[in-house]
Amino acid sequence: MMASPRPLLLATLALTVSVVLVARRESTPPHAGFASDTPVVLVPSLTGQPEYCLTCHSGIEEISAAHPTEAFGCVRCHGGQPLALDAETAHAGLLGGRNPSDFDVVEEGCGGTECHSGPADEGLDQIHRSLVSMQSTYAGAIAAVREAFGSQSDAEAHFSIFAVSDPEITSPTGLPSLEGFSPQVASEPPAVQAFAERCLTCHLRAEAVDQAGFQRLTGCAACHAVSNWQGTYDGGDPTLPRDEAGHAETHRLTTSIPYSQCNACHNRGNYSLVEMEFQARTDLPSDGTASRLAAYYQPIAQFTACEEELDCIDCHSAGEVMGDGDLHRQMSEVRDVQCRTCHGTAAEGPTTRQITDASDTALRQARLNPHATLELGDTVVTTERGETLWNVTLQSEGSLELMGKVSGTIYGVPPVAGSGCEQNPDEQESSACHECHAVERP
Amino acid sequence: MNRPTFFEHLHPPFIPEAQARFRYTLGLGGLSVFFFLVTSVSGALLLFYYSPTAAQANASVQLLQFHVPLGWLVRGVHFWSAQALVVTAALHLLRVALTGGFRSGRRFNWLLGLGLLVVVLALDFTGYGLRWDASIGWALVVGTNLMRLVPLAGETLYRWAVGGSALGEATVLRLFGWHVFGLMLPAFAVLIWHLFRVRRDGGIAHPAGPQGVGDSRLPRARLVQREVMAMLLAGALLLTLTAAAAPALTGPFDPSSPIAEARAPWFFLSLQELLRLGDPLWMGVFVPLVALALVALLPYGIDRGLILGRWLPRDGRVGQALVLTIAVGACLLAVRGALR
Amino acid sequence: MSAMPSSDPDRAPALGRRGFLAVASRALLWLTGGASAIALSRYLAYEPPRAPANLVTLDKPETYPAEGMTMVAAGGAALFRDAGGFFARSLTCGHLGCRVREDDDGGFTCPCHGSRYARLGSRVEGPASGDLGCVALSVDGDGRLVLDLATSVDAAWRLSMPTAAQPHDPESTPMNRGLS
Repeated sequence: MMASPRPLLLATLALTVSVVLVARRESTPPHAGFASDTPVVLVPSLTGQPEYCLTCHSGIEEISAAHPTEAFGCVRCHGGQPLALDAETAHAGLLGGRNPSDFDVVEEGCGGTECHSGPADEGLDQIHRSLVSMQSTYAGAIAAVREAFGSQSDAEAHFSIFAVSDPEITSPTGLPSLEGFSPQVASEPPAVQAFAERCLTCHLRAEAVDQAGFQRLTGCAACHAVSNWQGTYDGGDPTLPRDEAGHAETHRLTTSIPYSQCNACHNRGNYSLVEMEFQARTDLPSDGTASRLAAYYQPIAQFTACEEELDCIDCHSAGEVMGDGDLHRQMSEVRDVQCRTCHGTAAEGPTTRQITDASDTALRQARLNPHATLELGDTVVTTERGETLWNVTLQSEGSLELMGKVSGTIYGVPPVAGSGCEQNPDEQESSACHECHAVERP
Repeated sequence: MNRPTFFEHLHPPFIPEAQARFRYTLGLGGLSVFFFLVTSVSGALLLFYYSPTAAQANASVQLLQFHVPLGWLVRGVHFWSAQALVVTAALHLLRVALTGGFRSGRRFNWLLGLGLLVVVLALDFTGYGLRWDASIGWALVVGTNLMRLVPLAGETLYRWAVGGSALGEATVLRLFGWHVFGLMLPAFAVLIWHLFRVRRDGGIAHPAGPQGVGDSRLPRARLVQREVMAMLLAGALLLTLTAAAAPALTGPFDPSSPIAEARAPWFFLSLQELLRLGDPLWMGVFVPLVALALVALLPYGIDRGLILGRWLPRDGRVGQALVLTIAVGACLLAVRGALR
Repeated sequence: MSAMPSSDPDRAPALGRRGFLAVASRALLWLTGGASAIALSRYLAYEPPRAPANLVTLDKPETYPAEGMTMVAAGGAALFRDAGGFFARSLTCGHLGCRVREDDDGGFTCPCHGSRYARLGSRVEGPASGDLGCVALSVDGDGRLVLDLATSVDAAWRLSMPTAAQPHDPESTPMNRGLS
C-alpha cells in the first residue's frame, strides 16, 4: 500500500478542481451574456454558408427591405468569420470595421456586377458614381482656392482629394482623371496649405467632426445610414453601447434621407477665406432641439417655403448628389434641378415622360421608398439632363404632384404658366425666384 | 502477491532511490512522455474534425473551437500539452546536461534525445501552421524560406516541406502529412528507443560506488504511484490552462493582404531575433546548426568528466558553461522578441 | 495510522481515515473517467450544420411536354406530367438508398441489389420494402417548378396547371399555386 494516500488524494482533488473549471467554462462560453446562450445560426440563400453572427447581435435591425437578411446574411457585406463565437475571432477580417461601405473597402463590401458595381445605363454603378462625385473629389473647391492664391493660372480642375480616373466619359464636361492633392500640398503657398489642413477634412472618406450635429458615418453610409443629433445608436443590437457617438441611429440603410442627414455636413457654418478656417454657425441650440425652419438653412440663406418644407432629396436627385459617373470641374456642371424643372416657366411647362418599361429605373427607385405608389404607365417629370424625378407625377387632370420622399406627404406643384408670376423668362436662377418667394426667417 | 499490471511492467522491478528523487530529475523526462502521449491522443481526436485543405483548414478549426461539443477543450489541451512538451523536453535536456547524465555509455541516448527535441520543435511548428490563419501565415513564409537557404539541399528541403515552389493549396495538406505521420512516426519510434536505452544503459544516471551499494530501492509499484500523481497534477495543470486561456485563432491566411503581425511562435522567437541581426544564411541556418552541433557533441569530446548523479559536477564546467550559455542566450533573445 | 477497531463485535470494522481517503480518491478518479467518457461521446457525435439543399428549382411548366416523364438528375427525382398535372417520384431506392436507373421496359431498376419498380414508382420485386417516394412540387415567384424533396405527398397528388381559358379550378389541391 502507499506510504500515505494523502498526496494521491490531493492530486486527485487538483484534477477534480480543474475538471470543475472546465465544466464552468463549457457552460459559460464566450458569447454567453448576450441575447442567446445557444448559438443562433442563419443560412442565407445567397451564400449557403451557416453564419452565427446573430448569436450575439440578436435583435439587430434588418439592414433594408432590399437586402433581406435571409437572402444576404451578414458576412456577404460585412466580411468576418461566420463560424466564430467570440468577438475577436468573429470580427477578424471585418470590412471597414463597422462600416463595409467605407470607401476603402466599398468595392468588396457593396460591389460586384450584380450588386452596386453594375451597368451604368441601368444606374447600377452607384459605387463608381459616388467615388468620382463632387462630394468625393472637391475638385472645384481645390481649383478655386488654388487659382485664388496663384497656384494655378486657370480655373481647370487638376486635383481631387484622392486620385481618381474615369476612362469612360459620358457627359460633355467630363474629365479623364484628377491627381491626388496630398502629395502636392507641401509645395503649395501657406494659404493653400492651411486650406488643405483645415477645410479639406470634411469629405466622404473622412471621419465626421466629433461633435453633436455633425454626426455621420463614412462612405455610402454617410448619407444612407441616418444618424441622430448625438450620433448614438438606438436600435436593438445588444452589443452596441447606447451612449457612444459615431453610430447610425439604427442598423438600416434608407433612400428616404431626411434633411438632417445632409445637414451633418451642409449648412453647418461657413469658411472664411481670409482666416482660412471653418466658422461653425452659432444660432442653433447644442441639444438639437431647433425647429425645422431654424435648423434647415444657415442664417445667411434665402429660401422658399417648399425648399424648407421638403427634404433636400425631394428635389436634389441622385444624379446630382451621387453624380453622373464623370469627373467634373465644379458644381455648376452637375447642377440639374431648378425651380423650373417642376414649376416650368411662363412659356412652357415641365418636361415629362411616361414610364412604359417594367424594368425602368424610376420604378426600381420608387419601389425602394415605403411611401411611393408609382406604377407602370405613370407620367413623371424629367430634368434638363434627362434624369427622372420619379416622385413628381402628372395627374390625370393635368396637374403635377410631388410626393415627399421622407414624409410621404403629397404636395401640389403650382405651375408658373397661367399664374400671376412676373418672371423674366431669361432669369431662371433661384435667386430670381427668391426675390418674391423667399420666406422670412423668424 | 500482486501481479504487476502492464503499466507497472514497463518499469524495472526496482530502481535505486537516488535515481527516483524528484529534486534530482525534477521528473522532466517522465512529464515529457506524459505530455507527448496527451498531445498524441488529443491530436487523434482533432483528426475527426480538422480539414487539411487551404479552403477549409481555418474554418474547421473555428468549427472545433466554437461548435463541436468540448472541441475547445480538445484543441486547448492539444495546444497546451504540446507547448508544455517543448518546455519539459528542453528543461530535461538541460537537466541531463547539467547533471552529466550523458556520461558513461549514455552518449548515444543523448543524441536520441536531442533528435527528439528537434522533431518535437518541428511538430510544434507544423502544428501551428495547420491553423492556417493570418497570425501564422507569415511565420510559415519565413520559416520555409529559411529552409531554402540551406546550402545544396535547400530547394529540395523546401519542396518537401511546402509541397511546391511556393506556399499554396498543397502546403496545408503537406504540413498535415508531416505533422500527423511524417514526424510522428519517427518521434514515436525514437521515443521508444530513447526509453529503451535508458533501461539498457543502467537506468537514470546515478552515483556509482560505495554510495550506490546498499542504497534503498523503490519498488516499481511505488514508482508507478508517483508517476500517477505527477500525471494527475500535470493533467490538472493542462485542464486549468485550457479553461483559462484558449490558443489564439483569427481569420484565414490571405497571402495578398498586408502583414498584421509577423511574429514567430514563441519557441522560435529567439530565431526571429537572430534573423534581425544579420545575414539569414549565417544567423538563420549556421548559428542554430552550430549550436545544435555543439550540444550534440557535448559527450563526444567537449565533456570528459566522470562524476554521475550530481547537479553541476565539478568536472563538467566546460560542458555546463556551453549549454548554459546557449540556453540563456536563446532565452534572452526570446524575451527580447516577446517584448517588441 | 488507522483508527483502532473497537473490540465490540457488533460494530463493523471502521474504514479508517486512510481507507476513506483511498476510497475517495478512487471515487473521484472514476467520476472523472466517467465524465471523460461522456465528453468523448458528445465530442464525436457532433454534426456541423449544412445549408438545406432540399429545394431544387426546375424550368417553367410550359417547357415540359403535356404528357411524359423527365429525369431530374440534380434532384434525384423523376418529373411526370399527365392530364391531371405534374407530379414527381424520388429516385432513391427504398432499400438502402442507392439511385435507381431507368430500365428498358419503362420502369426503374436499382443497380445495387436488384429492386425493380414500375413506371410510376410502385414496387414490382426485389428487397426494397415499399414504392418509390412521392415528392411535392410547387411553383416559385418566377413561375418555375420547384421540387421539394423534404415534403412527401400521396401517389394521387397532382400539381395542376390551369390553362388560360379555364377559370380557377375550385377542386384544385391546396398545393396548387398556378401561374399568376
